[in-house]
Amino acid sequence: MSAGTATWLVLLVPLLPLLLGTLGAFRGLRAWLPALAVLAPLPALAAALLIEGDVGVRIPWLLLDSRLGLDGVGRVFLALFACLWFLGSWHAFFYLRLDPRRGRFAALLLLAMAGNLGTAVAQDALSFYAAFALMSFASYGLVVHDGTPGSLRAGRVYIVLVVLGELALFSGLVLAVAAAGAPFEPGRAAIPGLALALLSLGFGIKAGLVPLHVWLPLAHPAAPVPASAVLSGAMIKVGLLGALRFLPLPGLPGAGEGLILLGAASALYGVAVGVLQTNPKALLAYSSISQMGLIAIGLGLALSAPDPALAGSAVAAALLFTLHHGFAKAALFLGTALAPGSAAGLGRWLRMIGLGLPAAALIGLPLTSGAVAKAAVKDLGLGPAWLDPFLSVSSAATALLLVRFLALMGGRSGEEKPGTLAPWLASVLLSALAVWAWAPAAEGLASSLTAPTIVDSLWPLGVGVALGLGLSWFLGSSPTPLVPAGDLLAFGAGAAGWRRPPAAAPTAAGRTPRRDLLRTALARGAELAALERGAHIWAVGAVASAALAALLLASLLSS
Amino acid sequence: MTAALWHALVGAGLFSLSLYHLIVAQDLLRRIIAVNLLGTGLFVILVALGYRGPDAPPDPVPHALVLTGIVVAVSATGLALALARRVHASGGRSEDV
Amino acid sequence: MSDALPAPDWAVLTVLLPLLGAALAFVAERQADRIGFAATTGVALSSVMLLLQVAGGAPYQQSIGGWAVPLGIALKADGLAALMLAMTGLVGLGVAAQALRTMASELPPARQGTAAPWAFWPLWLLLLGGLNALYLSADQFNLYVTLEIVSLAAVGLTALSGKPEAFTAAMRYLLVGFLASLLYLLGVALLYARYGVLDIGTAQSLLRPEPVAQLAMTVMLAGLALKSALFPLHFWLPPAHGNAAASASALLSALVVKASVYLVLRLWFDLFGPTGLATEAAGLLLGLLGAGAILWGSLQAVLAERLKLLVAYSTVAQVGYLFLALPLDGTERGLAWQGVAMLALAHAFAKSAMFLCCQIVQDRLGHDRIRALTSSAKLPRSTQLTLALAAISLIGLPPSGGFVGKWLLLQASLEGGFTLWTAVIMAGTLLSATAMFRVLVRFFAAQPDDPVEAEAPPPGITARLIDLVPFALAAVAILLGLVATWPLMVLQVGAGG
Repeated sequence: MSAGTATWLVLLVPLLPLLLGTLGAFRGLRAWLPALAVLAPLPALAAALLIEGDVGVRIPWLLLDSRLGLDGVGRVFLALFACLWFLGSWHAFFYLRLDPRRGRFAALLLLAMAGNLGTAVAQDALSFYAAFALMSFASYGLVVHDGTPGSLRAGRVYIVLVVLGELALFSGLVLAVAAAGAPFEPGRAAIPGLALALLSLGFGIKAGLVPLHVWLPLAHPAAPVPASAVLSGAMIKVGLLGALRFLPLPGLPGAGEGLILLGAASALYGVAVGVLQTNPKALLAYSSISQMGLIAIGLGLALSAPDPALAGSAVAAALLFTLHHGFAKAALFLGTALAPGSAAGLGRWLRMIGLGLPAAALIGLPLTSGAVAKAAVKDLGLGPAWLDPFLSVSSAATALLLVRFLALMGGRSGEEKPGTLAPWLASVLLSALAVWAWAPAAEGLASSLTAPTIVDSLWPLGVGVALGLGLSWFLGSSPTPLVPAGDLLAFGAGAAGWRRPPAAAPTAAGRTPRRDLLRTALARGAELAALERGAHIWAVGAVASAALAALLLASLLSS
Repeated sequence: MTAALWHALVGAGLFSLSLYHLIVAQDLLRRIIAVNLLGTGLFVILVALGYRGPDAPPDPVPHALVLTGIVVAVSATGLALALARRVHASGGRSEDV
Repeated sequence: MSDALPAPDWAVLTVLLPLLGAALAFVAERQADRIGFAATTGVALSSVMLLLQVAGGAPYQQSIGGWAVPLGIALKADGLAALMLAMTGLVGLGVAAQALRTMASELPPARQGTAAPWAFWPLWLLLLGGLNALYLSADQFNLYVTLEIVSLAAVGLTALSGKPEAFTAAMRYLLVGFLASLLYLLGVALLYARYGVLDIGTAQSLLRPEPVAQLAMTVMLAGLALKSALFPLHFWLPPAHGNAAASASALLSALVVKASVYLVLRLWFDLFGPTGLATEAAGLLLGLLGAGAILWGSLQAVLAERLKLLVAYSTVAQVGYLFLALPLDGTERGLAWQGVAMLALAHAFAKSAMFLCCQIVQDRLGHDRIRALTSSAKLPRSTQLTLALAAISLIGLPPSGGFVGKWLLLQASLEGGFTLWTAVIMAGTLLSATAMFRVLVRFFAAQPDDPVEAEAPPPGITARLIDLVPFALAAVAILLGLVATWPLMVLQVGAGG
């Protein structure tokens, strides 16, 4: 492919979905958007698969001198994002076919897509942040699409965390740019500690790292199924992408070790709360938290690696894990639209096997992408001594979680939306095969097939399945989860008297504290507003003017 | 004390007095008059600034400024009076301003 | 003689056209809207031509009637002035186009004691002429006269809605504005008495840090701070902007406030800075007040119950950002100055779009209480979209002009190691995001079974175009950020010294 074509293709990656998304402003065109959304990720797919070597393009008039381009890291993410968005919009076309608001959904889907794909090709701090923000804010519309009180609440939590994350990211990036001097090339310069903290906060929220994860188990299940798939499969990965782009690798041993601990905590915590869920989508969201914890461990290894070469291998392992989890989780999420309980015979088996394949990959059974990814992390030989056994334990935990998921899905009955089976099947196939297209993954396959590795990957399965079956039996089919989705948030709110009373029986005791809290807050606000409208405003203004004049004069005379 | 300094002091006095009145007065008409006097005090200062000694003719520039200033002040006062009538006619109170 | 037709003097046109138009519109009241709109279009065109001319690299300069400074009066336009002129022209054009349609419905039918809709046009043209003259003036006394013209016209526009609250707000505004102008005039008089010049360029080489000049600077800045509604002197602004007719509010918030802030920047960087009058302590003081404005204004916006008041308080906060250039840049134009100019431009477009949307909300729903905004099905999608776009710029989200402005401002504050300003900017952004999302989130809250009301197509293609005006204004605010390098390049024209 010629350099010119490659440049245009890279430009088209975010531009096409963005332009199509803005068409949503025109009422007459909105009906076409769900179909057009399926085409929108194609340039990205072409760019990721067809462009050879690195491409860069500088657009001096855009923002403050923008750079877009495609490099090794970007290509992996772009390939994953493009595939998942294609599957997601294909699925959405059928899933929301009868929804009166599908035009709006498609427009927001396209905008989020533009942002998500844009993060993969952004090569400077400003463009990356712009794409990141577009993705995050457009996704709000996906989360609250249903308009139910539950999804609106999820949306509120989501938007608060997004705004906090954006702020942290914004100031962190400016700080890093100010320290490095413009133009800022990502990942090349040492950054101040405060910038590091702020960037970690921003990316940590996006990646759902415990304890910044509270929005994720609420928002991912609240969105319609295809949106959940791209949220959990693609958009969550931008947290890792950002870290790879902007943190110096290696060179932060302290931060790396901290990240390994946090990742391990997330991996276990996600499973512990996840298995208690009764909504399969909430369970999958917790599984994402857990899996992102494992990816964070990979990043932590890269940050604390003793030399750049090892850091490079650690990054490769993290990327492999990212690809693997992205495809598998998307297939599982799209699968939640199925109703195996209502299907008979072959159809039922087909659905359960289709759900079982990506689940097996997540657990890390031999010959799956998960096995290769985990082997890649273990083969690094980096990190603390407990890491190897920990990964096996986490496999067992994942097995437990996914057995519970399959049990929940197996009993699920209802009506499937016509046309959604094909995109789901495609996603299952991709999750089983797509990873092997990436050379490092195919190379890793052989090394993951040694006898000890296989044994290593089978015993957690046994433990996990046994535990999972036991737990499913124990929990039965209770409709309410033992731990509400949003865990910490729900507990925190309960402690502060903010817990939402159950809709069925609003008890007086459940309501009063919340109301009191609200009332006090409102009264405070009213006091402030009254202060502003005070009757003695002229006197206040006069004193203020006089004080200002006196101070100004003093400040002039002082020097 | 020269006449110019005397004028300047009178102007400054007028300025301060009317500024005080503008702030403490509750009645709308008083406030309008106060702000008008404030301008006058300023103009007196400006006229005094044009003084260039007993033999030289006064500097015409400050005087031209005063003329322009008076035009502006008259229009503003007119507008203020008209507005004050509207305020009262529409039931507004002086204290609300 | 085969001389080519001389190119018209665009700068002079931007002042002459509106003043002529104002007189004509006042006399021929039946044709006021046509005259007004035609004059506004002409001005917008001229100001854009002037901007392109200045963007070519040379600042504009002209002596009126061929009389050179110090005897005559000079008109000047550097990059900043040209950008402000173009902003005024374009925002004015948008608001005027909208006023063509809404003025008649927005104002009560002319009764005894209330203004007729046509009165909008002469007032607006007067305001436009005053603003343009202000940006072109390089003479301190002319600046006073233009400030007064702007104030008086703005008071008239405030009172135009005929609401009792609007009258009291206009009255307060008039008294405050008058006082502020006189304070400024006092400063001018003191400077003239000591140095004998009015032209800023000439005064630049004469002023010295001595008591007279310091007193003059004090009263001038105090007067301008009062006029710019700098916290805590902002008490007159929210009632005035919150109660005026929407078109008027858009003009007041987007344009009028900018004029006095522009003057502060102009005096600070052109007159007080180079002459050593401006001290670090003074900059710090004004910056602290700006910080107060950001926090207090944004907080009040969060607490506001009516959409229009929210938007008005957001203006208080935005003015605060503009004052941060003084402590961050010291006495020489730098990153913060660029950021502030960008914020001022983006704010004008975003805020005017938002106020025009307030009018549509009021018309469609019969109220503008934020809590009751849920039934968004009655609101046209374009209005919701416009509010969202304008909010993006006002919060400072990418890729808007507000974002680039804040980015530059933050960069300036971090390079100088001023973590206080960084904290203030971030806190202000958080608060304004809270305020704006309080509104925007409601647009998603409509129940799925809400009947999506068919929007009655407005009659005729012109009317349809006019309905797109707020959207276009908000889009410009976004566009400013997308192509930020161009306005930033223009800003450098004539900014060297």
